[in-house]
Amino acid sequence: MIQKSIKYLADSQYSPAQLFFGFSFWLILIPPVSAFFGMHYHGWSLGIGDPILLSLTESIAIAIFYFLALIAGFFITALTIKWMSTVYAPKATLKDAFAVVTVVTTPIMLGGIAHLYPSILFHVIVLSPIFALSGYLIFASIPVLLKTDYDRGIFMGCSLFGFISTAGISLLGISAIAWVHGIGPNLGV
Amino acid sequence: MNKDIYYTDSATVFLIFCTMIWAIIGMSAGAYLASELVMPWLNFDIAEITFGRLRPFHTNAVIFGFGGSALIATAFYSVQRTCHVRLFSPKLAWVVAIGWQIGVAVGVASLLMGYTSTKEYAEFEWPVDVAVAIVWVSFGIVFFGTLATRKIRPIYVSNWFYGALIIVIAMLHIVNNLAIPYSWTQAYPVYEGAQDAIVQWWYGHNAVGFFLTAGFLGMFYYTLPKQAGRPVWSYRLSVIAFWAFVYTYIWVGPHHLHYTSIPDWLMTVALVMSIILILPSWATMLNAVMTMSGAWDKLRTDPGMKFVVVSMIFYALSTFEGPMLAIKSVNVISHYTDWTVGHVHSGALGWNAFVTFGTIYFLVPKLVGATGLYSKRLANIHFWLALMGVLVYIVALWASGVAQGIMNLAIDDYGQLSYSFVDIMLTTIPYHWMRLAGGLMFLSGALLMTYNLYRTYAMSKHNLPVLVKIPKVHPGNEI
Ligand code: HEM
Ligand code: HEM
Repeated sequence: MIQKSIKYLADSQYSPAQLFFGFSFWLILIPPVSAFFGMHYHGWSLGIGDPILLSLTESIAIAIFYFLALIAGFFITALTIKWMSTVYAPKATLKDAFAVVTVVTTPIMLGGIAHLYPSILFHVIVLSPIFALSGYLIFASIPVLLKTDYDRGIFMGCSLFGFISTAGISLLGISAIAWVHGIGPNLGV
Repeated sequence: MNKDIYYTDSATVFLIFCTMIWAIIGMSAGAYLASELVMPWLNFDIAEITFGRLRPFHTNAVIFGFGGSALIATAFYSVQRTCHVRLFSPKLAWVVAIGWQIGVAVGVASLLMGYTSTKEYAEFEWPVDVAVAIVWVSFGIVFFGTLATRKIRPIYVSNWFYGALIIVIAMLHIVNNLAIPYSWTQAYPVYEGAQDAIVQWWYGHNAVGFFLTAGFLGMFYYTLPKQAGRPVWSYRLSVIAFWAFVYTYIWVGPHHLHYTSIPDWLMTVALVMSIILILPSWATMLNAVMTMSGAWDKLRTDPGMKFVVVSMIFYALSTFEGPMLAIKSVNVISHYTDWTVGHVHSGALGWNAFVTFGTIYFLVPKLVGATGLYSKRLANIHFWLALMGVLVYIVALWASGVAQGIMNLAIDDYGQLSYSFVDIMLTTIPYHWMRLAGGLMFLSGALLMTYNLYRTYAMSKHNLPVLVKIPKVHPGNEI
């Protein structure tokens, strides 16, 4: 089924703008909006003790920043795919790159609903299979959408996987810096 | 028979055998440690297997037993091939191979018995240190002796990395372990207080930099172009990255001592140098990626190559995460948490173990004279087990590390710590179960590999060692 949908997307007519505003944009809204409700009404639970509730302004600010970061991440990833494709998939266009990001990020953005219940353990349990699915989608979508052969697709998939996980880690680092500078939990530093 | 026209690989075969034994011993110890963290009764009140003794046993068995044997084995193998000459002294090579096993075995056994100098990754007491130093210098004599008698003019880049490994580790090991013995099992270190800490982490991080990185890059630079059947993409980039790497690494030790009583400027220098270190690390990664391009079909046909490709991803990941952890405001959260342990294993499992597995899968059929591996299918299963294992391992520890980091520092409106130590311990239990699961997957992959290699050996009709003739040097490249 997944293979079929990817093929269907590859054969359809659309412009990057249509794809983005008709589809991805709305999906990208899911995580920040859920995060806002989760942070403000439930609070982050670390596993023990009361959840850490954030004030209204702080929750809104974090949600907006999160939204902007996701949008930026989306575009940067698309451009990176286009850049990488010069080596791995010479026939790919920017539009195809957008299609790949859309396919790969769809489960993750839908999984963003998990932010409604912000518990670290819950996130690990729910998001791990979702990330595994996205990992699979990287390898399944690249050969079809970027019009390259299977073997090159695997190589490109590895590179993209490395890029995305590095971006993920830097998000962790940026969050840590934010916490230390007074955004989020009340830390004695 | 004129032996000089053949390479000599018997010490390599022995060392690869030892590598796999140490992998099983060291990783089993890791899995046992991980189990003790969730089931503390597993130490059965036996002093030798309590967490405090088993932990340095694990780190030394995997780093020096597994990593060290693999490095010496591949150095012996590749230095001959890249110099077109037999090992400088095959007898001394055997002394190194056996001496290393005895040194590490006695060392880790003494750790279980409670003899320790307490310096992390340099826990062995002075008699073992002296023995290890002698073996290491002999390793240097064999290696540089072979280089000096080489028949081919250029020195291939893998040898630069192995050479740096040998020289720098000798220097670090000797300087950090300087001590005045007062009995056969105990000695006073010559450094004290903050100086001791600075020297220790100058050693500690360069053990990471030169043992777990430079050496393995040497292995990598030999194996990857061979597997891909293509030359290194940019030879010049590899050499520039080498010098940048050597120069930068040596400064970064104090990032292990952020917010301690060492001078502030030292922490800052370490921070800045750690960030700069991304450049040579990623230059190497880029070089690797470009070397692989073109060898597209190899991933499907060569199971070892999969491991090497993935090792590069984790190399990139851990050399990005490391500099990030060196930033003070990240370190204040990550230090004293599982985040560090996760970083360690994304490097140790994802990078070191993967590149070693890939290289050994590549070398063993050649060394035992088989046409190929006994089972590619088993190797593929190993690949997926290992990949899932390391991912589960590091994801669990990221989550646990972040939770611990916040809980360590969180304060309430009165400025009191919000969480007690027990709260924090309880929170980490589910993640530690997850890490145990990841570790067991990784370990079972290594067991499959050992079986596969054994069957490959049993399948081959050759008597060991297989004799390989030294090819003629390409005209124009003679020395
Ligand atoms: C099956 C695989 C493995 C498992 C289950 C495992 C498990 C563990 C555990 C439970 C610890 C103690 C963490 C703590 O104190 O909280 C540890 C520490 C460590 N392990 Fe492993 N390990 C494995 C493989 C390896 C390998 C292959 C290497 C190196 C090549 C390695 C290097 C280390 C190091 C350096 C530390 C000390 C970390 C620190 O001080 O921050 N491990 N490991
Ligand atoms: C650019 C490269 C790297 C940098 C700048 C770096 C930096 C760091 C930092 C800042 C820490 C935490 C120190 C602390 O809070 O105590 C750390 C820990 C550690 N890293 Fe890395 N890292 C790098 C690459 C690697 C690689 C490739 C490996 C290996 C396989 C590795 C193995 C370790 C180990 C074993 C520790 C734990 C040391 C301990 O026992 O406390 N690192 N590293």
